[in-house]
Amino acid sequence: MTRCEELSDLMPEVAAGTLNWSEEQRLHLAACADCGQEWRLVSATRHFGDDLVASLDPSSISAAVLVRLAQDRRSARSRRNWLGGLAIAASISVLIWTGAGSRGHAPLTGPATTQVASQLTLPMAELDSLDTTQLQSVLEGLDQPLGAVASPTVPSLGDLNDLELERVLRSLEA
Amino acid sequence: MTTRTRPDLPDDTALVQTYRAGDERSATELVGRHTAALGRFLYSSGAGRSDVEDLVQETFYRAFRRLDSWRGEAAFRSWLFTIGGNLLKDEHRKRRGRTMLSIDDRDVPDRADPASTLAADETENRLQEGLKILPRLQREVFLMRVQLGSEYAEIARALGTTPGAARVHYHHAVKRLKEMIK
Repeated sequence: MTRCEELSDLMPEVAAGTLNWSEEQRLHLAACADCGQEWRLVSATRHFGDDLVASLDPSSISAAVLVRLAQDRRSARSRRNWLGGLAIAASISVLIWTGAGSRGHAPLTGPATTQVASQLTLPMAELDSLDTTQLQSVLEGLDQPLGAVASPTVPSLGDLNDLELERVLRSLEA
Repeated sequence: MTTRTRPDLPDDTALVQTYRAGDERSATELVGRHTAALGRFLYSSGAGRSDVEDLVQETFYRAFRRLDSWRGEAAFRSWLFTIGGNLLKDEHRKRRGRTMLSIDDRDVPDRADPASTLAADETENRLQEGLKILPRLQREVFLMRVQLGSEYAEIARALGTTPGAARVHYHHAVKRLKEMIK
């Protein structure tokens, strides 16, 4: 390795202040135009834009970056929630569709249905205040066919005469 | 090369880990450690003075978003430089397509005594012009070697080349810059 190559390799470290030139190296730099020019280039590059760099404020940069990252996390969360809602809606649609397809046959109690239903989480705040017995009666009500839940005091449409049927129709149209 | 400000402070790798575990102060510490070097690198690579802060912010933002892709093979600072270099390249490409005006606003006077800094400005201008027209790999190897003090092996890992090739790029860059700023 020539003296010029040796100095060239050391220049970044000396410019950074981690090394110092020896007296011999200093003399070479003064005498060798090529090395002198390279040293000026390396020193200038090392201190390039010093005034600009001093004006940068790391704390404001960091704060801005953290705000943007937090916004990203929030958007990602709401995207996930939206997709979750979509998945629930899709599952409900599948359940309704499957239920419609099996109307008149056995109720939906197969293992696949149970698995889908167990994965569903539907928030129903109005049920939160009920105790176990009340919840059980709600469940029983839901499990019964529609006709069975109808109150015995309410007559079916077949029991009405023409005048009463006309009244019912008018009230529905109103 | 791992950057440490004080021996009793955690190194970059430890800070990245604690940030990923949810400690935002680690991100602040990393930004504090590397802002100056990154800003200097971006400015040396051709960014306009008024763009540097935004580019530094964008580089950190992108870095923190994809911390998973930093495996610690290259130093965190070298990795930041590569992200910053890619960002600057994209910005130049976008602006070229949008306007024919110069994006370089280095001539905006922001110093109190222009006469006393004329020579320094002249050298800086010529240096920046020279750096701008270097091939990207030559420029980045040169800047990482001179401004970061990185070894060729470290530069090679960061830029996806070999230490021998990095050394050759460095010497080509020095040769061309010396001719330009004569």
